[in-house]
Amino acid sequence: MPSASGPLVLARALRKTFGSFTAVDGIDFEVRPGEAFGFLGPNGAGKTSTMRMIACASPVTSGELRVFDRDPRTDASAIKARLGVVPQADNLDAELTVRENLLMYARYFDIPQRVARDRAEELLAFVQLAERRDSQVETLSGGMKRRLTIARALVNEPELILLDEPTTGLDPQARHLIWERLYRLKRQGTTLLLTTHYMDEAEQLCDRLLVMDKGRIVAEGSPRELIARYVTREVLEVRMTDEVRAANAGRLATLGTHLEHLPERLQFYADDGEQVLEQIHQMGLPVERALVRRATLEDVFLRLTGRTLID
Amino acid sequence: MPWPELLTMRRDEVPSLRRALRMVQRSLMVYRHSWMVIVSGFFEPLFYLLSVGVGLGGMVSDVGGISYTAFIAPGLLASSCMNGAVSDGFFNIWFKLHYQKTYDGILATPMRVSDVALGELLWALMRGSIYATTFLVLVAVMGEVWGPPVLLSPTALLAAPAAIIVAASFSAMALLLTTLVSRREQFDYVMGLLVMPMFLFSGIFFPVSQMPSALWWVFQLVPLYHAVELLRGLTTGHVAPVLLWHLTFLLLGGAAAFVAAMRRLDRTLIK
Ligand SMILES: Nc1ncnc2c1ncn2[C@@H]1O[C@H](COP(=O)(O)OP(=O)(O)OP(=O)(O)O)[C@@H](O)[C@H]1O
Ligand SMILES: [Mg+2]
Repeated sequence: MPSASGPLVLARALRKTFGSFTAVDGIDFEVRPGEAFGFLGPNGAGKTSTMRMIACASPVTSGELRVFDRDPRTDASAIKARLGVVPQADNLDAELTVRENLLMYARYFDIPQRVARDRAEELLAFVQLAERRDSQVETLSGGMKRRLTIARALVNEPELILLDEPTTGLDPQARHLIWERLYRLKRQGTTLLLTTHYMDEAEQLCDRLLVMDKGRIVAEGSPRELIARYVTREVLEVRMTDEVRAANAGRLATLGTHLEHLPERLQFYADDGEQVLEQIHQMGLPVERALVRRATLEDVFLRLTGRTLID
Repeated sequence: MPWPELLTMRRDEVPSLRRALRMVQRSLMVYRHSWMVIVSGFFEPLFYLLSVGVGLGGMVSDVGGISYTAFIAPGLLASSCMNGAVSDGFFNIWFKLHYQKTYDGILATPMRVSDVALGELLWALMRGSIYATTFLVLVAVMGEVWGPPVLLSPTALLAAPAAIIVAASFSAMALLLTTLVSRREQFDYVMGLLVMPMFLFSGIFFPVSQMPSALWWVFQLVPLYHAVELLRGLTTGHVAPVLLWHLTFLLLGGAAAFVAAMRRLDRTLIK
């Protein structure tokens, strides 16, 4: 008997291959009830492939995957009945209106028509689309479509919601609206599993993060833990000419605890950024611009994958 | 994919009628906005009948003892079943599959590929049966009022259910074709090299006995030929055991096409 607090998703040595290409290369993780769990990783890391396997939209190549303690291979309908899915690319029903999208979706879940009508109204208000209820889907803006996709994913009152880049391409206002809505769901006890390229989103919403790169897990922990574990307290960003950088590469590398060479800047990790900047000045090197700031998740990401988040 | 694998259905793939009917409900919701599309489907075989049957029929003598209008009417019924299946099953479903990603959204619910496939087939079948019945009623009335009669025997009553089988069979075949097309240009090949020749050479406008007898075997493989012969046998009262062969071909061909289409859809959607 699975206990009520057993993991909602459990993956062991989970793999996904497309022909000879390995998209997910043996990953282990658990998603616990009530938490907000985030996948981070550069383009092609395997986040969507993993989400699709959980959503029963993609067969597992090998390893173990259990969702609600059931096997997606044999129990897909039962699993999907309890899931809400917001895919990376919207796939709303283009032949139906906004409201009809919700009504029809409810019917696929066998929700009685009367209940579906009430729920559609609630959800339209929840994502602030009530005025557009009779619009054709094509006439909505990108952000509105995204909000409708989120509303649609809530129609069956799911226990677990899969959100693949829920706010990519949205304006700041729309993003904040979605964050606020997701936060409300989380407070109501809904488990969230999301992928994102935005560090502020990960920090705002996620209790636990999993960083993927090339199909593997490279780190796991809360946003705070990851910062404490992988980067120093501060980061010094310095811009200098390529010639200066090249001529002093050896000397610069001795400063701080770690140095990252980015195309347009050098990034020194140190507990005291000002001190490193002082040392650079003492070497007599011309600095075009310098900035000391607190380390963020973005820096963790850079250290772990050697890339910035939006590749 | 090897054919034997294509033609076996696992127990958990057997579609559920309740879920399939959700797809029908979806289509009804969609066509609430564009009911003219449905209505326009009535006119195609009627216009053909008026132009070719009545217009050309006045210049053509009887065919095998029956009027030309009565000869081509069942053929036009069969071809309208085919065209309905092609336009609905082929174009609409292809766009939902590849462009609009409608099915990806639907499959994130408890619906399964087999439910979706059966649902789309049921809808095509419902549409086809409404067209077929209306067509038969209209030509019966036309025959009575203007003459010459088009439905020549009480067995014409059986043409309605037979037309529904024809519609179902063509819908399944169109669904299979849809899953085989990966690029838009391929529609033109299918329309130009498959659908159009079938329309012209399946015995709708002239008896296939006009064709070289060496081609007999080829005709046995052409679905529209079987459909035309079956419906014509019933509307003209030429009921013979060979009609069972035409019926069997349509039933088995349709069933095989449906299972194969389901497997291919599964490959396309769940990857
Ligand atoms: N259907 C497919 N066929 C072949 N390769 C695929 C398929 N789907 C994904 N891949 C490959 O698998 C790898 C992982 O893709 P995936 O979509 O999971 O990445 P991701 O982490 O979601 O990236 P992004 O941040 O760009 O969304 C990529 O290299 C991609 O090209
Ligand atoms: Mg992705």
